[in-house]
Parts: sequence; C-alpha cells; structure tokens
Amino acid sequence: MAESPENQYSDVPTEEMEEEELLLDDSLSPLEKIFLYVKSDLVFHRVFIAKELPSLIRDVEISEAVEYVLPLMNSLGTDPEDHVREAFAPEVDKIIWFYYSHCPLRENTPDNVQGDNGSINSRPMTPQRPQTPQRPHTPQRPQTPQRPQTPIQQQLQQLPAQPQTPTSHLPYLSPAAFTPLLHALLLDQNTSIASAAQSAVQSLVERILEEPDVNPKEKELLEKETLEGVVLGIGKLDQEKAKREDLEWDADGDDTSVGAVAGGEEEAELGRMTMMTLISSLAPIVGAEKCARLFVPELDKMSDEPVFYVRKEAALAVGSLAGILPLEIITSKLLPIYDHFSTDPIWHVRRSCCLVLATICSRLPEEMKAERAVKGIELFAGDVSRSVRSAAGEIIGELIATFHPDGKVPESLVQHFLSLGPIRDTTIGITSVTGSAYNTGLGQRDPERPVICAYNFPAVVLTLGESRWDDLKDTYISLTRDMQIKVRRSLACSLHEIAKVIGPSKTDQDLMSIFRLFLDDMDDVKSGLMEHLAAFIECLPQNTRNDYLPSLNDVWDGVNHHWRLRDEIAKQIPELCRLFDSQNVINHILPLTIRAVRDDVASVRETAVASFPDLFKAVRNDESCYTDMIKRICEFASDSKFRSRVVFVQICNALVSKDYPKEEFARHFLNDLEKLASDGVVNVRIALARLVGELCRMEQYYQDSSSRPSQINNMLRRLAEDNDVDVRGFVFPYLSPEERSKFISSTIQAMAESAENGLPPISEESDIDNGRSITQETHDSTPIMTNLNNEEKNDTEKNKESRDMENGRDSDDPLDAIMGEIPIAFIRPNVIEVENNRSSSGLIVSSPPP
Amino acid sequence: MGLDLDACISQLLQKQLLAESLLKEICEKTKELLMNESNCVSISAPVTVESVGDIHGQFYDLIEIFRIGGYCPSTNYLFLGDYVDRGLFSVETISLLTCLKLRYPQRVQLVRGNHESRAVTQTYGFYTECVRKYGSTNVWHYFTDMFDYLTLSVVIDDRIFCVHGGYIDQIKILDRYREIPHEGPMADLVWSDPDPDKDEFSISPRGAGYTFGGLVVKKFLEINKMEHILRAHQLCMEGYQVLYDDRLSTVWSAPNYCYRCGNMASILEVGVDGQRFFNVFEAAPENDRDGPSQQTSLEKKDKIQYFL
Repeated sequence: MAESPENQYSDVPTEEMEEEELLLDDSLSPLEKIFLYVKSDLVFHRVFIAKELPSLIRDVEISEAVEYVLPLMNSLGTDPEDHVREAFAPEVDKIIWFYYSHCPLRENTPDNVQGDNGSINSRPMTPQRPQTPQRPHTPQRPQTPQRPQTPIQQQLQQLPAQPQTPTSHLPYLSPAAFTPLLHALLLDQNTSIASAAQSAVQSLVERILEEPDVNPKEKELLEKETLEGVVLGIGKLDQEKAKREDLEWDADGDDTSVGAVAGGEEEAELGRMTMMTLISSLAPIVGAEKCARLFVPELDKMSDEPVFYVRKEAALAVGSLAGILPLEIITSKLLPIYDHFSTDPIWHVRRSCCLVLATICSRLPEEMKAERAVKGIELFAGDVSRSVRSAAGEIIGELIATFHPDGKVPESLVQHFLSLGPIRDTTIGITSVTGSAYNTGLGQRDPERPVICAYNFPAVVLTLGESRWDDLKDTYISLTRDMQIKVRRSLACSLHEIAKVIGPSKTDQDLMSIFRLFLDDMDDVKSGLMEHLAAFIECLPQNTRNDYLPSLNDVWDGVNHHWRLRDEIAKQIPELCRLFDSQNVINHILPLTIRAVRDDVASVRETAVASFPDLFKAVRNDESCYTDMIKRICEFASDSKFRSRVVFVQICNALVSKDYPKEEFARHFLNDLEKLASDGVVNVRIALARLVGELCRMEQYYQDSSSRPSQINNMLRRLAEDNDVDVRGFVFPYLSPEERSKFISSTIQAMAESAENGLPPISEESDIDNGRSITQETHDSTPIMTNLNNEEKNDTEKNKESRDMENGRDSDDPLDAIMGEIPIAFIRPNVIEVENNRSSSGLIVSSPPP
Repeated sequence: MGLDLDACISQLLQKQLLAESLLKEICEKTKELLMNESNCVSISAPVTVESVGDIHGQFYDLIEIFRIGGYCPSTNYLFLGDYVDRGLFSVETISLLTCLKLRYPQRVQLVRGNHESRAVTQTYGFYTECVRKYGSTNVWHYFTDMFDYLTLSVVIDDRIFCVHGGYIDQIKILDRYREIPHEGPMADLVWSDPDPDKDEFSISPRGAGYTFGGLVVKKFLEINKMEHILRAHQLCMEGYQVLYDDRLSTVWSAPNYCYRCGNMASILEVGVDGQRFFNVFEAAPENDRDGPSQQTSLEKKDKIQYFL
C-alpha cells in the first residue's frame, strides 16, 4: 500500500542472509541440520528447530538420535532465550514419545552399569549400550553405508561425552532419560513454558497408558518412571538434591545449572506445587487405583505444608481426586484434609476449597450432600475475603445442579442463587440469614454476578423443575433487561432450554415476549436466538407456532446486514420443516428458503440448497403441495439470472445426495437439466457437469451405461465436447469407450495440425458456443488427463468406466502416449490471448509528464 | 503419480503448510503456465467474475471471500495483486492462490501487485515469514521467482480494464518477466493511484508511479473503447470506492487491514452483462482466535454460553 519503494531495500540484514544460505544446503542430513540449527547463534534458527524437531527426528537413525540428538534436547530445554524454550516445551512429549516407541528400554541396574564401562551410567540422560545386540520386538535397522565425513560429522564426533562407537546397533534407553529435562521445563519461571510442560507430561501419560502397541514390560517401566520419577519426584526435590548434583546433563559440559530455576528451597516448594497441579490434571487419566496408591499419600502429607501456594494447589487436587475415588476414601482421607483447608488462614486456599465444593458434593450421598452444600456455601459466602465470596457465587449454580435429577435442593441454596440476579423492588422471600450475609455490599454490585447468574440459570431451572418456575421468573425477567450484552447473550442462547423445562403454555406466556425483545437486540444477542430458533419454536403450542410462522420473514429482514445470522437461520430450515404441516411448509418455509438461495453470499445459498431434501420430505404425502414444490424449483432452471440456474442444478444435486427416487428425478428434472448443457455461462455448465458426473458414478442412478436415458447421454456428449476444460473434466471418465476414442483421434489430428502451423492464433469468438475449433480441443487435453488421474485415485468404487479407462492407459493408449508430451503451450486456456497477438484494443493513452 | 493439486488445495484450506519440495514443483509449473499468458489477459463473455483486491496475507479473510463468493471451480476469480506482506499468513495465502491458479487456470486469474516483488517483500513481512515457517529462504525464492511471470492486467469482456495500481501505457509490448523496477511503465502499473481532485497526471506521494485524474481515465477508456477501470492498491474504509462518474472502481479485500484499521472489505462481482455489484464483508471471526492477539485461553470461554 502506502509504502514508498525508496525504503524497500532498507533492512535486509545481509550477514543473516549469508548465514542462511549456508544452512539451506540441501545436502545436509537431518542430523546435521538438527545439530547446526540447535547450535546456531540466531534465535529464530533455534526456535525453528525446536518446533520442527518432532518431524525431523523421524529421519534420523535411532542410534544417532540417542547418541547425538538427545543431549541437544537439553540444550534447547535450557536455552537462555524464552522464545526457544516456549517453542520447545509444547513439542517435547512428541519427541520423547519418538524415543520411547523406537528404542528399547532398560532400567538402571548394577548389571548394566558394568556393561557400560561404568562411565556413563551415572548420567541418566546418556544412552546405554546394550549388552545383547537386539531385542526381538524391535525392528532391525539396516546399517547405513558410511558416507564420507563432512566437517559437521567431524565436529559431531568431537563432542565430549560421546562414546566413539559405531552407530549400527540399537542402544538402550533409560526410562529416566528425560526426567531431568522435564523437571527443568516444569520448573521454568516462565509460566507459559511450565504449563506447556505440564500438558506435555499429561499427554505423555495418556499415551503410555493408552497406546496399544507398547509392550507390557516397557509400559510398566514408563508408567512407573513418569508417575513416580517425574510427577512425585518433582515434589521431592529437596530429598533428591544430593543425587541431582550428579546429574550434569548438558552434553557440552557448559554451565548446566538450570538458570531459570530459583535456589534450593524455593525450587523444592515450586516442585511440590507442580506435583499437586500434575496430580489434579492426571487424576482422571490414571484412574482410582493409582490415585489411591500414589497420590492420596502425598495429599495426606499436605496438612502441615508450610507454603500457602502449595496448599492452594493441594486443595484443588482434593477436588480432582474426589471426582474419581470411591466414597470410602473420600470420607476417610479427603474430607478431613478438605475441612482443614476450608478454614486455612490464607484466602487462596479457602477459595480453592470453595471452587471444588460442587465436585465433592456430587460424589456424596443425598443427606450428606445437602448438609455439606449448605454448610459450605454459608462458610464461603460469609468469608471475610471478597475473592472467596465471589467464588461462592460462581459455584452456586453448579452446586444446585448436583441435586439433579431427583434430589431436593435446600432452599437456602436457591436463595443464594437468586441473590446473584439484579436487585428486585420487593424483597419478599429473601429473609434468610445466609442470603443477607452473602449479599454484603448491596448497592455497589459486582457486574460479574448477573453474568454468573444468567450463565447458570438453565441448570438451576432444570434442577428445580417446572413447578418452581414462578419463584424464579421475576429474577429471570429482570436479568433479560440487564445492561450487559453478555448477560443477554447467554440468556438468548439458553432460552430454548428454559422453554423445554417449563413447557408450551408457560413458554408462550413468559418467554415469547423475551424472544421478541431479543430479536431486536444487538447481533450478538440475536445470534444466540438464531442458533436454536427451531428448538425454541418447537416448545411453543401448535397454534402459536403457526401464528408466528409469517414473522420468519421479518426475522430474515432483521439480519439483512449480517450473513452469518442468515446462514444460521438457513441451517434451521430442516428442523423447521418437521414442526409444520405441508401447507405451512409450502406457504412459509419454502418462500423463506427461496429467499435464502437467492442470497448474495454463497455460503447462505449452499446452506439453503442443502435443505431441499427436507422440504420435499415435509410435503411428500400431500400431492398438490409436492407438485407445487417441483414447479417452484423448476422455475429456477429458466431464470434469467445465471446464479439461479446454478441453484437449480445444485438443488438437483442435493436431492440426489439424499437418494431422491430415480424415476421421479428423471420425470421431474432431466428435461430442464438437459437444456442447461448448452447454457451460455460456463459456471452453469460446470455445476451441471459435476451433477451429471455424480449421476453416472452412483449405482442407484445411472452408473449402468446401457440403461441411461437419452437426456443423460445427450448431456454427457455435449459436456464432454465443451470448450471449457473444467466442464469436460467432470464428465470425461463416464463417456463410452467409442466416444472416448473418437475424442482421442480428433485430438491427435488437431495436434498434428497445430504442430504444422506453429502456435495458432486463438479467436475470441471461439469461446462462445459454436465457434469451437479443433485446435481448442487440443489445448485443453492435458488437464483432462490430470483430472483422470485424480479420478483413479479417489474413486475406489467399482466403476466400470473408470476401470476401462485405467486399463486403456496401461496399454498402448494413444492418448497416454501423446498427451504425456503436450508442450505447455498447448494447454494454454483458450480465453487467454496470445501475447502481441492481434489485440482487440490498443491500450494506449497519453504519456505522463516526463 | 505426480502432483496431487486437489490434495494440496484441501490441505491449504485447512491452513496447513505444504512441504518445501512441493512448493518448488508447484511454483515451477505455475511459472510455465504464466509464461504463456499475455501482459493483458482477456476474459471473454459471457462470464461472471468475482474480483478481489489486496489480501496481504490475511488468510482467514481470503477464506471468507470464498465463503461469500463461492469456491473454485464453481466461481471465477480475478485477484488484483498484493497477496503477501503485512498479514500473518502470507505463505498460506500465496500457496493457496498459486495452487488454485495451477489447478483451474481458466477459473482463476492472478494479476501482479507492487508487493509481488523481491524488494518489497523483504521489507514488509513475506521474506521473514518464509524464513520463520520454513527455516530458510528457499520458499521465498520460489515464490518471488514465480511473481516475475504474473500477468500485469486483465480485460473482462473487452469492457473492463483490470490492473493493480492504475497507470497504463503500451502494456502489450512490455517485457514483464522480471523484478518490478523502481520506475518505468511496469512500476507505474502497480504503483499508481487515481486522484479525484486532478484531471491529469501528477507526482505520486508514494514515490513511485503517478497519480492520474478523471480526464486521463476518460481518454483511456475512449481510445480503447472500454467502459471501466477496476483496480485495487488503496485502502477504502467502506471496502470500495467509485470515482469519475462510475469510470473507475477501487476494490479492497483486506477487512480490518493489518488487524487494526477497522475498515470493511469487498469483492466486486462483475455480471454477465458487465453489471457490477460490491459484496461488502467484515473480517472473518477466525481472526479473533488466531490473530495477532492470539489468546487461546479465551477460546473456551467464548464458546460456552450457559451452563446446563
């Protein structure tokens, strides 16, 4: 745009370019590439390799990957640049899994210490050489021929701590090989890196537990190491410190201390916190048995944990574990520590307790649940900390929902919930002590509270049921007038859910006015309604439904400026068809659909076109409506707008894709379709060719070439001779062998002629129907071949025509022989002028001032 | 078998990059194809064309264009240049457009813009993006070499002259297979702008090309017996601008340009009889999720509207 070319050349860093030129040498092996990029001084090189390592490493010999790439991973994981570690952390599980799935594992035992000359066993990051060459289940890798040594290879071999061994046999990997790396990433002071590392651990555990192809022995090793070494291990950094001192795991022997990690004590605290977070996220994955065995004892120790942010995570872990452990462990182990945390001096910890209250209650038997829920919400809603009080508001809906479907919800919970809504004029009913304690600071209301209230309303209505609606509706209605769009949007999205619970007559009485109100609201609110338009209308009594139907046109008008909302309505058409009788479908839904297929936006047209099979279904049993529908559709075929003619073909296509009866299809549509084979606008013919191709491909229509009706054969022939390559491409595979050979011989002849004449000028008139010349057919033949090839690949169905074609090409098909060598000049599309050829216009204007 | 363009296109529609070696082959083949196009490609009637202005690497907005105008080969497209630079996804954008051109040479026309140039892309983002996404400059070389072969203008049905910038002189005898020079007719074609306050030519504030007034346009159309000039190159807040008694239109197809200008965009539909309709649109919603202020944590919150 507005940039001047004068500064175009300003900031091309020349030395950077040279460096890249060095690196983009195609002759580099993947290993060399990895090595050079990791060692590059340019940050973006290291970022690039951090992201690409999972795919590049697949091309590296496994023994080399263990020997050379593995140490480089530590250098990426401790890179001084945040960007590099940020790029690396989300990929690390994929790389680790590559090793796990390609390399046999062996635990560190005194046995194989010997075998490794004792030198590298103390470094768990370093691979161990196997004593026996191969394990039976690992694939044998052929020894790669030794290439001449490049400078890079020499460099690689000079790496310290790299045993000078041949790389031909598989090394063993210690299951603990990646534990220090994962710990370093998990403890990274950059929280986005730490949380990416947590996700990596999580997906690693998932894979270890779920991947079917892992051998049971290795699975056990990996599971043990990941859960105990990585997860529990990070909570015991102080105990393991002495050991850790040995683990100098940077291959270069650089200063390896994990720079980003703070000193000893703090690191241990961070480690315990991370362990709790990991327990929370892993609990549902590892299942009850491992949770009880491995994780519960860790939580047990947490009651005298001195650091509050560790306790904060521990309280959340209590909730997570409660979600899967049996009741007996919950009551004996988890509830005591939960109660202990609930009165913690630090509000963060109490807030965590509040946030998991619903999860815990959901696991308790009815009476205990009611008691805990009431006591819990009283406690947290009356907390001295505002954060804890607002957390109580956030969870109240979820807490009430735990009583669904047949529990009795304690009344104080309901009142708590209602107190989140806008303040009502009358305060009838809200006299409970808990309610007022909860509502501290009336007047200066938290704007988030109505949002939370609106968000939870459907769940509360569902739990309390239709009978309590009258107690809830005042709050509900005042919420619908809230100033905040997100409150109204949430309500608009869920209106149909409320309607389902309260039934047709109350929906009509209480929600219809809200529905109309939201239809005139902002787009964000409107779209909430549109997404569930049919579902809401379904909840209305039948007579109201029918009365409402004509307003659909107004609804469409109301979203004239916003195509996604129109698309949303169009998506509802099939559902709407099911809600009305055939007369209403013809009188109201069909006109709306026709409006939609004339839309300016292609997506809206496509959505509406796709609803025609459902429209037909809705009127199928009403003969006059059915005939009417066909008449209205066929009007599109002779519409003066080309787009309507395309729509006609597309509607036929939609019907065919839903198995519209063949005889009826032939009777109602084939004649109109045939006329379009010579339509002046190429886009119509493309749509038609696509449809005809489909019809000839599908067994239930016209796959059998011997019984094709004349209209189909005429269209096939005509479209196959079309002067547009994209039209021909769709139908060519379905021609009869004779027709194809006729086509081929004319092509050969045309090629011979054009070869004699050199490049023939292409006349502009030729694009229009009858001006087709032999030369043009020549031009476009090669793309047809491309298309054929695609057909062959994609079409797995037993298509006789296609197979014939394939066989033909395997033999000495002249088409194959000649088409393969058509010079590019011949495939030049005929609508494009030849350079400097007799131009229609001079294109000359006066020259600009000098 | 050889190149599976349909697979490439569906991969790119998912916004997944193609392999470097594939792009090399695609660019080579596209060069061969473009080499045979005239400096002034003529599209004959009856035909309808969706004409698209600057896109500038705003990949999601290109997809929005397909949602609005329809996909290839059902719809014919004329792209008026400036496919790369500025936006976050120049590589994806130009990869997709190139594959579409190669797969449907008759359905898709690609005109060269001032950003389809080595010099400009080195400064405004495409170069850096290629290096960041492919780790080397190879892909940038493939594409910028291919740019040298792009046509400079299209004439629809002998009535509408379509070009990226605007000024035109002896276009047919130009040797276009080269980097866009600093000055001269080729630079003028991709750099010039209309000036509604002038009648004749003036110096352009851009430092390249000229500005041209209503008289120049009128004279050009008369001499060449045409009706209209269609061009891109300039941001229009409404998505388009019509000047000089409906003799010249600017179409702009990058909504919320650079993810912050707040402008509308449009594509111009040229109908069978030369009717023109500007289909105006806004930025695609995906830009909020995968744009410059990418915040994946917000995504979940956006989706769930209520609790049940």
